[in-house]
Amino acid sequence: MTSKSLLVTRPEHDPATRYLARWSEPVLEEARKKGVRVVDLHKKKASPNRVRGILEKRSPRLVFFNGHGSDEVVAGHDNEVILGEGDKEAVEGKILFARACKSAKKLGPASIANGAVAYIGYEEDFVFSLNENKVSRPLEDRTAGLFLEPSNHVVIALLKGHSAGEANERSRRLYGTNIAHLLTQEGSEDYDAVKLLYWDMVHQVVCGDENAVF
Amino acid sequence: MEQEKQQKSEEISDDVRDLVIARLQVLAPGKLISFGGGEQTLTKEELISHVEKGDELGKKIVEIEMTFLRALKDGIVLDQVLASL
Repeated sequence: MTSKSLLVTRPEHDPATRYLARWSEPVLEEARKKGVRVVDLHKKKASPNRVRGILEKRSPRLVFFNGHGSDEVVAGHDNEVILGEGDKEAVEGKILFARACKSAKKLGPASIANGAVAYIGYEEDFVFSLNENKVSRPLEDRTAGLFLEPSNHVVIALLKGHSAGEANERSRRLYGTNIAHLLTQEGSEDYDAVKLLYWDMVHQVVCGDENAVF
Repeated sequence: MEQEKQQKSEEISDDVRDLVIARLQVLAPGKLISFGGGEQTLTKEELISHVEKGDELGKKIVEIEMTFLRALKDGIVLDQVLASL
């Protein structure tokens, strides 16, 4: 019996990707705790050849992309394209979550047409706020955590055995909880994050089979 | 008539822009906003400047603000938040 495996891409070449990369660490930890085989492509390892090679040869069931994106692509280190609408073998039979901008608009449906089981992502820009004085220590930035903990929860819920649809819903609920907390907390310096949390929450969607499990 | 309509629409746009700028001005000091797709991490002043210029990013900032305000007004935010509790 083959063990379950997870591929995580963590480019790190600007403040936004540094935050996404560091905030993926709790997900890696959770996967390892559960005995999942993890392939962690961090910084320069998140290159097109390496990512496609792992996707096609090792065929991990679950893939967690972090980085910049557009309607049609997801990028790796230095914004090199690591997944596009033409990638078929790379996505076949997989559950993918892209913490990147806009990719659920076209790349998500294209990946399903190419044989992916489920694709979770954002139909619009993925936005988050952060503290200027925490840029060098992203994991200590509680403002960024308001966004990145709920999005991490997509993968954590999948690791716990929830379906793609449930994982998306549980993640969205965490966004909602953070919104409720900020709306009811008088004078919070993060009050302005509410509109951004709402934006991410409503644009995080599942394409493909919502019943798919890891 | 058409010109009058267009002028009215532009006036509304100005109102919206001013509202968004006013809301951005109260952003807490030291906060940055990351727009992943554009690889940009922006300060309050930079956000306001994009809205004033009305460029693509400025339009996106307005859209984010107005999406939230409209949902708040229609009670959608409250419904979704209550459902999450």
